[in-house]
Amino acid sequence: MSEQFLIFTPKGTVLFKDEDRKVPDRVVNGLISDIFISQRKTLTGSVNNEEEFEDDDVGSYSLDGYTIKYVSSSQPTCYFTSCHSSLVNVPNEGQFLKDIQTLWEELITADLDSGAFPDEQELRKFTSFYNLKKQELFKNVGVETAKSTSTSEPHSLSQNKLKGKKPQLTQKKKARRWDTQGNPIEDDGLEESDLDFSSTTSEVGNQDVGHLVGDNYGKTKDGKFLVSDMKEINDILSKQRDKSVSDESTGAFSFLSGLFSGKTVTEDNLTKTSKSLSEHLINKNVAPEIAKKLVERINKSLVGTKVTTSIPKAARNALEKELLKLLTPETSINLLKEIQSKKAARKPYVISVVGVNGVGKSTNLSKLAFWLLSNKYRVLITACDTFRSGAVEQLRVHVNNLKKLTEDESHVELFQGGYGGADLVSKIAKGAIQYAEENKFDIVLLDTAGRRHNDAQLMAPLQGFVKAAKPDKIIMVGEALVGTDSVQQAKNFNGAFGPGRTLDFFIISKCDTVGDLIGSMVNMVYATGIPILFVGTGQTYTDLRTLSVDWAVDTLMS
Amino acid sequence: MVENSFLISLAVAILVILASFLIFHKIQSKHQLHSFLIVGPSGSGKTLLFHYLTNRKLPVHSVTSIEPNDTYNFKIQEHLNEMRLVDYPGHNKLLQLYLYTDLNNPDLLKSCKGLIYMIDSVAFTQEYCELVAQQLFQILNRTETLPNGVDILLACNKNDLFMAKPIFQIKEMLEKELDNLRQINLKNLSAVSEKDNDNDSFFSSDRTFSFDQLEGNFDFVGGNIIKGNTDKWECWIAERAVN
Repeated sequence: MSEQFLIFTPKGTVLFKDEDRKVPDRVVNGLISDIFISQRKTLTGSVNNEEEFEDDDVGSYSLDGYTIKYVSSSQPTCYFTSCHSSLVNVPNEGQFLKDIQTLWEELITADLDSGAFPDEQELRKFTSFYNLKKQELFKNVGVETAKSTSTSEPHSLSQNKLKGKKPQLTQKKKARRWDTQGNPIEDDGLEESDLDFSSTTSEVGNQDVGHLVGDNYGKTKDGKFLVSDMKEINDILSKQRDKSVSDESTGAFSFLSGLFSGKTVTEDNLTKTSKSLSEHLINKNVAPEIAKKLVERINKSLVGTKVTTSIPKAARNALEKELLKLLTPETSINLLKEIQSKKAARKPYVISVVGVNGVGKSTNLSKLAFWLLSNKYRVLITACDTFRSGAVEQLRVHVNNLKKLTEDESHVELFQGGYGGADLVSKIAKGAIQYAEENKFDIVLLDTAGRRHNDAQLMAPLQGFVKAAKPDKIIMVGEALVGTDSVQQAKNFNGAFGPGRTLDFFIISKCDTVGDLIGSMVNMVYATGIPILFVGTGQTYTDLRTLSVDWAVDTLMS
Repeated sequence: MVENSFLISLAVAILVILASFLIFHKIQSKHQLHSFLIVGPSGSGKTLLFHYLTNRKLPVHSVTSIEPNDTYNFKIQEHLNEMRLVDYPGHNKLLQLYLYTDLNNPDLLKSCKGLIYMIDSVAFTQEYCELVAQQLFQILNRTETLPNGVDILLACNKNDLFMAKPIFQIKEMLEKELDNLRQINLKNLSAVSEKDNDNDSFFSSDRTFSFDQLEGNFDFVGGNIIKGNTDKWECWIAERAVN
């Protein structure tokens, strides 16, 4: 049973709403922000954990004990969502949504893309059809009790609404539909009523069959309207199915309309463009599979739309938008602000750096330290790489350099515990945090050992390490030099910390070595949905910058 | 016969020239239309305000927008000229895509007569305040590049409700938070870019931030869109539309 059914446009306007029970707005807004905006479903595929897939078109999303099933239509773009408690299982809901979508597309003719509202009459007719379809769905489910509670409220509401507008409505109908016959309803034969009552049945449709006693219309007639309505619905639905089978025929003068109102993009005339686009992306060091997915997404959004510019240009624009959306973080991270508030609570802020061997973990950690030191924070650098010989000594060189560069030498210190196994790492981390607390350090930077992302034995200790140290931020350092492998690196590291904990952001190092081939950034963000905060642009301590999304997109598109 | 066809071709030529001129003019004038922008966090009521201002009616409901609402024939009062009204999505991922890109465009920024920043007074917690400050920071950095800035209306939606934060308190919190951001911004790392811009933005000064420093007016006005209590906001818009 559906508790809330909505039809809305990407512009945020709800065109049709049927709510049996109040569902918090955050449920459908969560769907929009997680699926439609962040497109997280395509990123991880874990949001959709339905056991049965009826269709690829029907998506499902769960939040706070509610489950939403949704379909979307293009041209004009509309989203159809049906929300119900996660405890209830509604069979055929996908089909129901798709049928409603078909009906909507068939009945509503207003130009929704331009922001217009649908015609009142059309909407009323749609409402009646919708209610019939809903009843049909309920019958299938067999939830009798649910039916009575759910229909009573909207029924009375819509009836009130109708009463006010009824006379006006019927008149309109006459003018539009019954011109040739010119007869009022009551005098009409049954045949005509069969044909035309679809619109007047809005009242009938809204009323439950059980509520009919005492109404103006006789019962038999009502039954007829119902039947004829169902017939019309089924006609529309079957027509739609036929249409999808048969090819669309183009009129003789369609090229003219194309000339004036822009070309309609089809699958065929996109193939060349999409090929060159994905080649462009791959040349920029974007992994082929991700380039393919990005281009597919663009194709999907473009097919069926009308473009006034050339198709390659429109596709480029779409790609630019897509990249901009991808690289922009969902919530802005303000590291200094967080450190400040942690400092106010007299707790050290713990940042941990992870990554593959040789990407520049220690170097970027030192750059971070330099930046924080220049902001007058006290930083404790901790050597948690107990594995590779020389790792601690390497950090000591950095710390000594930093000591010379800051005004007060006591602002930076090295905490180390020698070399050993995985248990030692957690012990050092814990010890460092305790030491920092006792000695009033503001920030603890944990340098971990580099590890191969596809070696489970090396990745496993990360979980224990994070559990022990509970870092405020886990940063993965990834290098811009790496190609396709960056996808797997980011994915594996992101999943290494156990349930409930992921990476917080990336630092992309060695950006000065790749020129404009910064595709690895796209790879890592696409694979995980984790944003990039800093980029390393050189050898010195000052060569750390925040990422400018505009810059990255411009570079990628050039 | 020859003369006739010559005349026809001449007429056609003139028509074409006229038509192209008209089309060009129309496109041109579209860019120079005065514009008002509605921005703010998700769920503050921007889309509702947009529909109310343009159609005088509210949709059944509204959800998080994915695309901006945009109209070129917005009239605040019958006798005034048509203007542009844009409602930008408030989701963080989409701000960069639509709002900031538009504000970076100098032509559009110049044509902007006023910016309506909508907030939900009931939801105005410290966290919400930080979010608003963050966005205002980005917006002001761009609008204050103009000699006279851009007038901003901080529309406190649902202001009449019992749980709503009073306006003076909202103003105080925002001012404090924006100054906080200014201080942090001075310490932050600069962003990567091709050209080295020497950060001469509004917030790079050492002065403590206050709304009085701004070049453009910054007004806090309450209202409630669902109850149709928008007169004060409309007055504000009308004032700027006349000038």
